[in-house]
Amino acid sequence: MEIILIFIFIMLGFLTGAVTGLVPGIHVNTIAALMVGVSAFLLNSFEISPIAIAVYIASTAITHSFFDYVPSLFLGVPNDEVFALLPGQKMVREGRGLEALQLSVLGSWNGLLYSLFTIAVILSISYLTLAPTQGSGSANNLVALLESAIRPYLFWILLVTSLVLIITERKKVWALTIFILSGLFGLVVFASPLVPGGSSAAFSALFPALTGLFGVSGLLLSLTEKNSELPFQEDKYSIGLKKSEVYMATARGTAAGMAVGLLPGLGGANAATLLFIIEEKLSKRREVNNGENYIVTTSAINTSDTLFGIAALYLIAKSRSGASVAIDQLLEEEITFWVFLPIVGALVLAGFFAKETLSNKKCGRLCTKIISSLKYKPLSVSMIAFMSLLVFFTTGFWGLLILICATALGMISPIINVRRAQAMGFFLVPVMLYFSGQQRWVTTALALDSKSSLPVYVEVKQIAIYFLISLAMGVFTYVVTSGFLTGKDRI
Amino acid sequence: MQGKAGNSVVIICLIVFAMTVSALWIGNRSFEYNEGETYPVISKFNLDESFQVGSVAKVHGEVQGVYLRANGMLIYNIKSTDGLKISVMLWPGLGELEKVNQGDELEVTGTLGKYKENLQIEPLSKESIVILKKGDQESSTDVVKLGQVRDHLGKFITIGPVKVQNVKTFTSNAGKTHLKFQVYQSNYVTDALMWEGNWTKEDEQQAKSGKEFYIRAKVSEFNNRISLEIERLEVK
Repeated sequence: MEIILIFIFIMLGFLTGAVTGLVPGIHVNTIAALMVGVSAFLLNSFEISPIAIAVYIASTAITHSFFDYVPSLFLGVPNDEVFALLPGQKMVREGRGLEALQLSVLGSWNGLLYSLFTIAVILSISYLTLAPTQGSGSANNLVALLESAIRPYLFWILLVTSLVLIITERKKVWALTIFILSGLFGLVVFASPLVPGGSSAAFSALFPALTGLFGVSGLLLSLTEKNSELPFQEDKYSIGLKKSEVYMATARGTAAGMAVGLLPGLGGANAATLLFIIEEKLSKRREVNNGENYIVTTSAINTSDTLFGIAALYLIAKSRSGASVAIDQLLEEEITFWVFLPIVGALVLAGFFAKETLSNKKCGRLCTKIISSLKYKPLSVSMIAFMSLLVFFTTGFWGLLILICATALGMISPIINVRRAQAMGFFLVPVMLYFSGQQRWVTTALALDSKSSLPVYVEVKQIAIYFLISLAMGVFTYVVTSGFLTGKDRI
Repeated sequence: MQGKAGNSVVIICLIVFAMTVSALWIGNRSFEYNEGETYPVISKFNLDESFQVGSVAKVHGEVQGVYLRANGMLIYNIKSTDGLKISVMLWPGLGELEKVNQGDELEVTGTLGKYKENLQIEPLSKESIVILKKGDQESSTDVVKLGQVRDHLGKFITIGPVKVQNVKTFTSNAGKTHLKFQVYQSNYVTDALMWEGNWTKEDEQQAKSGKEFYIRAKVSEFNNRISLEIERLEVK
């Protein structure tokens, strides 16, 4: 019975991830916030096993990482993975959109397999060489040992990483400014008691902050872009890369995704940027950064970052992504190997369904057709309306203010041609401050002493109503704006 | 978006950001918890019905130990009059705190939690920690070298980083099982003891792991030799 339930939840997670991945402007952490709410509902209303719900969250996260490339390609809405847009868009303009999609699916699927293989090797070697520990969720494994060895140096690792990301920008002063402002914003948000519900709430202050920085800001800017009609797309499902090139691109992506999945404060965008900077320095080969390799690598990074973010719960007993925070809150107790196993199974199955769906000619074409038939600007406006309303209903006036603040900050990077990943200073600065050991006096000096928000019990019915009202308003906005925001508003 | 239009949008964004982030900062600073709100006081007797992870409650008790982790996390181990033991977890984000010593009596209002069966409370803010009575025992959160512990006789101090050797358990005449070992740092070696109730199997395994530790201990003397009564072992 339990196995059937888990399978049903994998399917549900797959469907949720497919929808959220196809809708532009939805950040994976926004999904994680929604999933905490959904989990609470399932847990309280139906007394479903927390493992089944954890499986649902993992399936949603991994499927989202496969599908979110589709709107990036065919709608041209800047997502947070802005680095991956250009080569993909170029291929779409050449009529090779379906080939680009296949490259992304291949990168994501291979990234998933390579990541699982890496985890299996780590655990096997650890099992054979290290003595088991008792009572600790973080199994005695090589990753845990590595993590504890580098923990004293995390401040320096993150500082050097941030500096590399800043000094490799063309506009260094702007990059530094965005990074510092994002960090300051992060410190203010993390110290804030203004959004009720507590840090573990389904809709905490993080929800409007991330929605603004990486969602609404991109959607707003996309309204100002002039886009051409979607050109005819060749019905080509084969890819022009050699197998060895695919394997190498995936291996690079998996390694980078693993690094950021296990380190605090860093995201997939940071990993891709760092990887390409290192490769540019080490290699003169031109093909290293060609479009096809780029798509495979960045897709592998996305998937392995998602997977290692979740696996970190078992490997080092720490949450490293929105999805892992949601799972951690749900399971409360330490995650043992027997809890980790069904989660891994869910990741593989959901990833397999995602791969098969997007590789299937009929499904792939259908997804592409649906996405490209949508009117780009009305869709962006409706998404802004949907997310703003949801933020207002769930986090109140202060949440809306955080959303406005984050949106204003998130808009600056693309306009001044600085990588959007600089906004990850939102996480990196508070994390670095924590690992520096100097946080106590610095927060007092900046008058940023934190206060906790009080827990508020929100009925799931209420969340469902908020969600439905926001969704209805979003659809209404789409219908209304479709009337006048027409013309050349697609890629 | 490029050129003049782009510049204008950037300036507007910066102004909007500055205004909203200032409003948030002012909102944070002026935020006050509702003083009329009454939270349950957690004790050993009402633990089952009042202790709920994530809920807000109050705890009264005497500070048994003050412990500072390397990352700046400060922990007060407190014991209520009815014997309930709970750790007050003070994240560095709370800012600078008034100094609390062993023996002080505190009232803490915060969010309840549990880690490895140990009860925890995270204060809502630094104002949620009220020192009801100052104790007489002096305690320091500074890390002391093992060679300097004699200067702190009778006090609770943090020592480290040290390594541990000769880990053994022994049962006293009263039938209590204590954990006995030696701690060393450079050329200094000192006897140490963890009383029954203060140590777990996990502590014993940790002690045997060969890792480096910070230890929280009371410095005492036994047979004219310094002995450390260890309250907690923390891996460096």
